[in-house]
Amino acid sequence: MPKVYNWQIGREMDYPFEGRRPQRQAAAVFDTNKCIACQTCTMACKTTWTSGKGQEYMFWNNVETKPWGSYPLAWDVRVLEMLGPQAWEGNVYRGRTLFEAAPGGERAVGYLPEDLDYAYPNRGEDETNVPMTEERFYLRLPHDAWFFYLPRICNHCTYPACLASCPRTAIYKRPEDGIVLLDQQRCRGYRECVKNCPFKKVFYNHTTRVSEKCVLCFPAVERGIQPRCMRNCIGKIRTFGFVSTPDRARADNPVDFLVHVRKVALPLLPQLGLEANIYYIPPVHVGNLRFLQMLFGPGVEGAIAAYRRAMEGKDEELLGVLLLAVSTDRIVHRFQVRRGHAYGYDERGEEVVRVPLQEPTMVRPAYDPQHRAYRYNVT
Amino acid sequence: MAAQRITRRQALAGLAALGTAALPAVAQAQPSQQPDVRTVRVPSPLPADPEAEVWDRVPPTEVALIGQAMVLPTKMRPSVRAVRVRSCHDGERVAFLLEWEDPRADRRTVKTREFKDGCGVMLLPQGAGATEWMMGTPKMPVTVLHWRADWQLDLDQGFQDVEAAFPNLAFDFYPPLVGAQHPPKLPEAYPPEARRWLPGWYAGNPLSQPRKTSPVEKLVAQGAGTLEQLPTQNATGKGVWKDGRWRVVLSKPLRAADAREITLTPGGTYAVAFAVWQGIAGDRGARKSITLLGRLRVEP
Repeated sequence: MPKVYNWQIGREMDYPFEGRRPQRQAAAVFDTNKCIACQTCTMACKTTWTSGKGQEYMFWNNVETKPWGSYPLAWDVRVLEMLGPQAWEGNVYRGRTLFEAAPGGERAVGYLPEDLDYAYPNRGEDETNVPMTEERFYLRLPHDAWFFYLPRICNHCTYPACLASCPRTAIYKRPEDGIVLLDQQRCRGYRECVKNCPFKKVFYNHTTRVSEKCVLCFPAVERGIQPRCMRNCIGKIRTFGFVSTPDRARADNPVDFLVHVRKVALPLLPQLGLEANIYYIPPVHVGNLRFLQMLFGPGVEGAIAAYRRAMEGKDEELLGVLLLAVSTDRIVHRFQVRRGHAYGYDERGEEVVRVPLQEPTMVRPAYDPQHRAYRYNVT
Repeated sequence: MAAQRITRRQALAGLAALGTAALPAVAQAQPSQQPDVRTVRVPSPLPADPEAEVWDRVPPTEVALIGQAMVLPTKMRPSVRAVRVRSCHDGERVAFLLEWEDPRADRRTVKTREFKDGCGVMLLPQGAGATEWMMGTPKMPVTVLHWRADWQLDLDQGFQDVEAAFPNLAFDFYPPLVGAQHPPKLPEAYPPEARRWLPGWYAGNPLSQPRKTSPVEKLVAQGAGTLEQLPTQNATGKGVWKDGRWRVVLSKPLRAADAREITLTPGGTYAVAFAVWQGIAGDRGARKSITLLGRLRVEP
């Protein structure tokens, strides 16, 4: 069994295939502090990709509430239970990955959901961790009573469990951008991928009887445009780009900056050993550090501290990068923050967007002589 | 990238372990795990139905099934004990009748956890050995006839769509089908431009074609994980479940229609193995109960 290096767990691990990183790895950072669960991302994806027969229950993008929500039901609780103890020694994971915990005769540890597990995508939405029965819950930061939203898509992992599980190699990872795709022609509907993806982001199509997954809107990505879930985000929480390994991180690449330089962006469930490529800025007001560490790994305290510095006005660069999120539908490969603005550049170095760090103030007089009309404040 | 495999030494050791594990310690005669089948010549036309009288005149062979321990995911214990095999030909086509016990007929593959019953006949040239038995090698392709209970159901009762498993299904509309019948019934309601929303169908995956012409597929493999349909799909068959028993006919022309397919010549000897999938046990792909490689003698 080949050994591959997984930087998120700080060590080598078993993987059924030789480790070969793509030329570029598509990735994104989601700022959970900004997500309002408007589900626009969910609707954008569903309208585009899963409006067909057999796809009714599929949400390649979903937004669930933590701690009490999940889609499909209890996906995270179940995989963490199957994994056993997950101990970290600093930044090195000393527990078992999905592959290391595989029962004999299996490639990874996993389970096949019941159809009913998919039936309540909004279960637990907006439920606080404890009931809000006392006034003290409202008046402290971080909150004693809390919840936050966790938007999820396929993580296009560097070491995907789905790819490893398919006995026919019907799932592949594109060498040009690391996007993980399921060959619709090659699949024979065994659903080993559905069983072993811990995030449950591979779905069986009831009508075509083969499985499907998020394609990261690769036709758009190929043309330098962000996926639909990213560029339609109302809260502008999503920074889409390409992530490097830590040794090759470029400080002027927005995703590298968030993940490797400021380290505000953390992987989801790194202990699974997949090197997932959707990163999360943890919710700074949640008063349960252990819960956040279970979800995002050992970097939580540092990430929250770094984010707070930006909130306090002490990190213009970080503020600038975050303001570039969803400011354009083009993929921003490089950024610069100077003279009160954040600039985003495409692959060829052309400026595609310019965002002021402080929203300019406009003063409008009550009477407009050009239109000969009075302005009313109707807000 | 190669499919996940166990080494040949591990495979043969696993095989030996499975072989002994599958033989219960009882006094009565146990069927062999190695088939020894005679394909009897009968007059045309070949029986297409498992209930046809002709089968009574074809001598059966009982073959014990073992688990699959060569390739991940494994199925260490077979969930079906044995399969009864009959075979005949009429100079044009060869047919097999496979019978095995299964307490429940699993025919539908609409829900995420629904897996179908199935059986298979794997044909190789004489001289094939343990390595070739593992779904062929690059040098020796295997021809596989695979009967599927879900395709049988599609043929017997019409295409099983989402509504078959979710009768109370409700939806607003399927965007490309605005104006079409409600609910849209495949395949009639789907004009070609709307098929993009059925990606398996659009990509030409045989599993996704709503209209089936036979419950048996004809496939070729050159190693684990390489199974694919042959270009000419001219295998036929029929499977019937009654009183806890499947009886399935699989048939193909003696002569190969495609490059990597096997031709069976009357008077010839070949290698053969059988497989059974049990939906109730979650069988699919490598999770199957199989026989060892044995002999097939085709009567002149």
